[in-house]
Amino acid sequence: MTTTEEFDTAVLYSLLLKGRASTSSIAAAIGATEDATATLLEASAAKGLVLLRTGRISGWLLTPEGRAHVGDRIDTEKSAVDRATMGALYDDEFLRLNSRFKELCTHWQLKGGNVESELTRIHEANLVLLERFTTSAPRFARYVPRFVGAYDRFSGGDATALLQPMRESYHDVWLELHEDLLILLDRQREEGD
Amino acid sequence: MTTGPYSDYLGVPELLGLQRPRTDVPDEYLFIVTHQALELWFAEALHEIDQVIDAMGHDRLTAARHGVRRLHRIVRLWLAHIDVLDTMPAKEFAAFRPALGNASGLQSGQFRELELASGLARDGVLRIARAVGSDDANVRRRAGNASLRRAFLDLLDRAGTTVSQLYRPEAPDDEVRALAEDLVEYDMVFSQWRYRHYLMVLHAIGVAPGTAGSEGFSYLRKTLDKWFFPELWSARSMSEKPPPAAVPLVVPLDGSVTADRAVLGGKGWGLQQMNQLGIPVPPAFTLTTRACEDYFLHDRVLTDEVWTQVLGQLEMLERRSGLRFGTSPSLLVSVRSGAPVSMPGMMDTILNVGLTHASADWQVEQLSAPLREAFPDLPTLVALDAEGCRAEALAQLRSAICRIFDSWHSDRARTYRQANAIPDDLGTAVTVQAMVFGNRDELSGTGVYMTRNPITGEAAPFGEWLPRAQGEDLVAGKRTPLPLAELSNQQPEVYRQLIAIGQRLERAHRNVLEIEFTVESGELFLLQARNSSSSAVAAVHWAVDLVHEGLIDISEALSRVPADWLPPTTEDAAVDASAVDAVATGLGVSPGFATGWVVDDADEAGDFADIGKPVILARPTTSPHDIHGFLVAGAVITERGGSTSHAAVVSRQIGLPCVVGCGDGVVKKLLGKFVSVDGSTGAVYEGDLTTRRKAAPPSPQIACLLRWRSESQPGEVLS
Repeated sequence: MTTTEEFDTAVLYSLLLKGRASTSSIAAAIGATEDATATLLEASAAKGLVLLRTGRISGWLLTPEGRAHVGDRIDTEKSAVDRATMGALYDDEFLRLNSRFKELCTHWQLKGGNVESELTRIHEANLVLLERFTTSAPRFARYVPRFVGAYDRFSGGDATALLQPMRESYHDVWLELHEDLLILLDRQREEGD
Repeated sequence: MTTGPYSDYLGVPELLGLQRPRTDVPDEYLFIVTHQALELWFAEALHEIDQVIDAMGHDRLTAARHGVRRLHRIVRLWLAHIDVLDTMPAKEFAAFRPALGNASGLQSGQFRELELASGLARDGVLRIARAVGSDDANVRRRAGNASLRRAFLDLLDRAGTTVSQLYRPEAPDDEVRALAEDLVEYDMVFSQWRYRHYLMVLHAIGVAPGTAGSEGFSYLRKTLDKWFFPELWSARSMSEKPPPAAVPLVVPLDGSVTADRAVLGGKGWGLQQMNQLGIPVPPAFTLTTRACEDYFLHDRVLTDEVWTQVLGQLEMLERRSGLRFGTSPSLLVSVRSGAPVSMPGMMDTILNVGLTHASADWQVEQLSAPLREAFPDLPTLVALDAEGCRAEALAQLRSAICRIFDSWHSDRARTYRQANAIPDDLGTAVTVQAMVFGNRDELSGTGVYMTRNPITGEAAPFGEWLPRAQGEDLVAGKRTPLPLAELSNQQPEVYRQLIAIGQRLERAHRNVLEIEFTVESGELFLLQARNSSSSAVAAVHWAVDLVHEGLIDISEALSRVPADWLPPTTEDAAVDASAVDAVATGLGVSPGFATGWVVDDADEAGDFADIGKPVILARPTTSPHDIHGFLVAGAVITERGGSTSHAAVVSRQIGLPCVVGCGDGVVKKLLGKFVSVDGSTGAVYEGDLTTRRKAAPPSPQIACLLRWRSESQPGEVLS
């Protein structure tokens, strides 16, 4: 990611996944500073692609124009990446890992047990998987520092870093990654999800 | 100076004339007396050792033990001498140290004699004695005499036994072993002496441990690891583990042999336990941790001995399952590790081992891809003739076993063990188990059975049943399961058997259990049983009920309920379901009650919240862009999904009432309506039923627990 245009796309893409998001959470997702992200968002707002909502849950969201714009970018990406390989990885590896992760979350909530070793296993498998996704779509590398950050915070004793919504928790990032894959691969969410 | 019979007898005047300080430093006198006293006690100890050696030489065990125990006390007395000397400041010692000239404690000839007489190897002791100029006639004479160690080994020899036999688990706890233990204790107190002496020298000279440079120090440090009876120590430590030859390499898990958890691994041990309770599990056998050791001993080769035993056990699995490995109808097995804890880098499970073209078409169709992935280096599903298929299946099995053993020594597993202080030599067991298929036919299926209701705590079976499915389907939530009660309609006999087993397991484990099971063509198999998780209210009910059933006591019951738990208030009360019909029902996965207008869009939920209107978010499934709606909604409803779905996870995290799996079309049906959502029962009602909720009085179990709790508090003192 070097050019402004790439950052621009990343901002819009991030908003598509998140639905509504604060400047800081977009900055975290695209790996840019908050100031730079704010500049990009304001520029997009000037073009009518995004708007800032206030209220109980304030944040940026895509306008219908913004949605169409990012839709075009996704179509471009779809034709560029190796979707067959990614689809196979999704079916064979991601879904299995997804089940394990959700089991872990449920187990942790209902039983309050020690999940660290299982989380470590899932995290390690996840990093390996991301590396393979990145071979086809380099943009997926951006998930790595986000997962590592959440994992480190959780291991460091921050219990909210696993599941707390809209806090860049492991679950937040996971949900985005899953959504990202669904969109890119034209898949539907499984029934139990 | 006194004279008379007493002083004459003891030679007191001579004795008191022997302290000749060379300086005016007051503490030099203490220094001399202490060392002289120690020399006297060394002489006494040598005298005792001579008596003990003599007693052992005549097989007088009681006398020998008596002498050795006296030696314990003598050596302990030396330690006390040093306690006194430690009060001497380092600078006092420095003041008279030059006057000692070349004199050094290392030169004590009697101490060398003690080492020799106790059993230290002669050459080493004499080398030191020569180096410090104390190899006098007495030391040399001692070197030629029998030691405590030699005398004891000779005694064993005469008794026709050996040190290792002495410490076998089945060996009698007799006088000879008691003497051996006395000698070991002598070794321990003597070692304490060495260490105490080393510390005193550090202390007196005033240097930090580890920085002391003189040869004397490094010598003293080295002596800390000298032992008189090494073979006794070694035999004792061996005796704590069963001797290796007694551990089998391969064990059938049919109840015919019992083995320890350390040998079978967690998986195999759990299956053995289930077998002993008479619970139907798919037939299995285990390669023990000794087989793992054997594998690494032979440079990662499964020896013929082990493989022959595996083939023998495989035949047993074939007989018991009525299927054939690598031919038709095909037996498939799972190969699982039995590592003591799950760790990164360990291979956990390889499923469907034995799949070939001889297997049933549906198996080949569904299972071939993951199996090929599991064995990238092996020709898999290539052979078409019977012989080739059998060979292929056996090669898979052999490879799967080796890969699990290999993974024990993977870099990541090793690093993990290092970080968590798990010994490297524990090894892993490997359990091979016949697979059962819940997706085989219409009399097959899979499910989870909780022996009591984990939400309300009611003492009634609870769970899920998914016909024509494998365990993975249930976990993945790809299909919405039926309530367990459906099994009793479809296969009443299997249901009855399952419930009976659950009750038996509850009694054995003294806990409520969550049991994974599979039914294959009408035959029930248990896959796993573990303690069930529960809501707080359920935990209270279970704890009290288990006390009344005689399974646990009151203090155990109290410990099973979090100390800060309080009974639910009326705010948590449920709608009286008998009074009104629900407009939708699903699985209540996050408790609580809320009312509001139904919207199907997170942004719209935000709009409602902004103007202060209560809102319920209803979605087919949940994706990340719905999450901000969760933060403003009073409750969440989904059409699809189970208790592990994202909606359930997020709702529980933020304490939001949530009902999942209400069925397709529910969002459309409810859109725009004002509803009441009960996240405990999974019911959605039209209208505001806040006032229709039944504020149930606390259940008898809750009342009972609160009473026990107050009775267990220490009595409060009235002021």
